[in-house]
Amino acid sequence: MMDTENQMIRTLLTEPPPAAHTVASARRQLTDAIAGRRPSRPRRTTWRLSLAGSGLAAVAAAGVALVMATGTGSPAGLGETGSGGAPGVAAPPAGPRQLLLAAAERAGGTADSGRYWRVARITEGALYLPVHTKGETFYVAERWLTETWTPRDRGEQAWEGRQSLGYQPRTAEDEAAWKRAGSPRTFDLGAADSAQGGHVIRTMAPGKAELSRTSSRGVPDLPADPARLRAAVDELLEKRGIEATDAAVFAYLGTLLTDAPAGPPLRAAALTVLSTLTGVDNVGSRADVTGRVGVALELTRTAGQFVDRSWLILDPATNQLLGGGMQGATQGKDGRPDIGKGGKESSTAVVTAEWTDQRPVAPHGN
Amino acid sequence: MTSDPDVAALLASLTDPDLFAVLFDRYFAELRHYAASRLGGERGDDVAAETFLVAFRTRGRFRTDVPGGGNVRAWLYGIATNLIHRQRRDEERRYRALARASAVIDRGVPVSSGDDATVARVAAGALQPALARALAALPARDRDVLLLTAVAQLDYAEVSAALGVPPGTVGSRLTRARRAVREAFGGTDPTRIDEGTP
Repeated sequence: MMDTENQMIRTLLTEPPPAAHTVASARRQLTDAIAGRRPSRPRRTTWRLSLAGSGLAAVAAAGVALVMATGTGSPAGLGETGSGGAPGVAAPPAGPRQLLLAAAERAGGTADSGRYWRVARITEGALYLPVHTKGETFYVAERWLTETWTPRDRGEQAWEGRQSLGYQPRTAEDEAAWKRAGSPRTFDLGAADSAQGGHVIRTMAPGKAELSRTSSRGVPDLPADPARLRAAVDELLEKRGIEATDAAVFAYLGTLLTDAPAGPPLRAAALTVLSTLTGVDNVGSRADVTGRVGVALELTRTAGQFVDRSWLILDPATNQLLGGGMQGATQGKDGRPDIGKGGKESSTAVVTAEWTDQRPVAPHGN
Repeated sequence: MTSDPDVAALLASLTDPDLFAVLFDRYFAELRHYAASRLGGERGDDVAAETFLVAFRTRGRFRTDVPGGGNVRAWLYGIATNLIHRQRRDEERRYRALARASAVIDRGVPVSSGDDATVARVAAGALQPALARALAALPARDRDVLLLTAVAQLDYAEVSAALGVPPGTVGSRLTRARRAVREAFGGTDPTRIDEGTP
């Protein structure tokens, strides 16, 4: 009998249980890793993970992400973000290639003085949490403001600021359900912690802003020459077991542009490489996560039942990159990712990308 | 969205890393049991601890866009299995040592009562050396499937998720592993019942 065989194997191999101090030590190793990771360099972790996941299954990683069709207006604190004003809605479809090349030109032409390369971005999505209250169910997502200050001089300290902007209903539908439930400001997400037996509570209120030292290696070490960049990205992807298709390269470089503190030359090269990819469509105007409208360039890849979309949003008036995002999930009826079934997505708005002499400060989103 | 509490904890840990410790509390004991079964107590301790560190670091890559929405427990077993592979020689050395050792009962291993257990206990005494030798001789891939089934008690779908191979492949590897184990027992297997499997 199979059960007997299995039992024999278990009996043969069984070892006495571990000593209590062994378990405690293993748990401490984990909690140390958890604690060590969070204050020091959360953002780097985030974007590396999201790159690792790009390709099919692509996903935004830790803690950041997108709200599609957000109906909640612009987030708090955006008034002081300092990047290009509200662009007009761009109806006429310009070629993706020209748009990307124009953006590349602008990215490379950014003023060449300043002590820090500062990138501020707002991310949203990644993780939608269901809230059940007063007979209503809606999804909420957290929004983050992160700022990286990468020194021009590699010997100087790099900094990273981070602040949660709180949780908000995900879509217009979610917002409607949230209003029917009495517009609560806090969300009880249920018992998620078996260790303590408590409930997980999330709130719409912004969190505490933090500024911490980070490694200056946060800037990816990639060549700023388009041909060499493409080769380097291909190699990186292959190394991770991802076939370096145009779609995978698009997803990777999109994340690089929106989530990494890549400086002007690298950004220009990345946009130039993007302009050489096939399958990139101008899908018309779309708002970024902060409500700014631009032209979305999108690339979709389908493999079996999975579909993976990546996009960038460019302001055709200023040739600026506004943001981007990605979605990966099982295909829905309309051929698009069906996020409701548990896929993932992430979206980022690049709020500022500039050289500055300003001293690093904690973000002040609210 | 997911209603699976493990997946919920894992996803929540993306924004709130502390929550990851929940998964340790849920699964450390059984992961350690699995690792210790394959590598012995001390190495098993290390592999189990390392499994959760690796899992924490790579939690952003956990796939929920799969049928069933992802299985955290199977994912953890997959990580542990990969770590065990790095110590394959030690694993096989352990089985050979077990083959030389005397009866299981002398090792003071508590065996729960129950029909299967009783039969196993009696049979294991006689068959332990053959079983241990067979485990040492199995190709690593077949051994993974056998031990994830027998020790971790995962089902086909879970083994498939843990190893990232199709369920059909799991089935054929398991069949192959079982056949090898039975052949090792030879005619001395008192529990042998022909199940008609190929």
